[in-house]
Amino acid sequence: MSQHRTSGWAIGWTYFAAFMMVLIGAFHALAGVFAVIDDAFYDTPGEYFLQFDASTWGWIHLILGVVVVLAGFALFSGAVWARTVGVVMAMISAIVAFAWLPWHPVMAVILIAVAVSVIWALTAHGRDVTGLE
Amino acid sequence: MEQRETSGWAIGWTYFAGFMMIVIGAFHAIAGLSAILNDDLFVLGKEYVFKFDITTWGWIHLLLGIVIVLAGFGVFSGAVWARTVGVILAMISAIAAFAWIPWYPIWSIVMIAVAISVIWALTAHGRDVTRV
Repeated sequence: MSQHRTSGWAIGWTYFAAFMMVLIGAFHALAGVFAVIDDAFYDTPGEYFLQFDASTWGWIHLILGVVVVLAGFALFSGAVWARTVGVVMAMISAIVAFAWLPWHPVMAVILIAVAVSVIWALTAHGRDVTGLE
Repeated sequence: MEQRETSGWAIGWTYFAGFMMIVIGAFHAIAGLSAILNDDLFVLGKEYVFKFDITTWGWIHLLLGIVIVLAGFGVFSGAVWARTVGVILAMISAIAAFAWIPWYPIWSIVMIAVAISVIWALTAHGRDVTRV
């Protein structure tokens, strides 16, 4: 009984992580689309060592967003590789958002917060899924 | 049965802390590189005690970042010393970020929030690992 309940929870958290990854992917993609469509959308920060031009950052976000969404869908399977990829992608997402923060601090903070929630769900609860099999 | 469930949780939290430490380390390194390379991002406000040269702050962040990433990998072992070091470094990270707030507030706030999540994961849940 106890075992069963644990698994039920774990599946819930994995779903949570998967939906959150689809959401982060969409956020990244939107942040990217804004920049790709309109170079002037973001105020350029002062001199900054990661200051690629706006559309370069746009493409980074867009491609990262698509990859994160795909990884999110893979996560619905609950497979170990999918959870590992999920954690790695969430870490990359948080680090990219931090590096990009000077361009749009509020968007970056939201991306980081959601990425942390994914890492938390997958590490603190992800393993319980295996109790199912 | 009960025992196993507790351990499973604790291992999960320790992993969480390990991954978060790698993320914080990367944050410090990015902030540090940015400062060392003399970017214009930083607000030079009023006179203040910790207003070292920005390059000095850059090196502090960069070295702290590297140490935290290494300690993060150590935390995956779940060893008591690694968790102790993890908590101490997360506290140093939060304090350094706080002292650095006048330079770039939002980066600091993000670092502090993530550091607190590490301390919480390692203290509130870390000890259970030893029961494995």
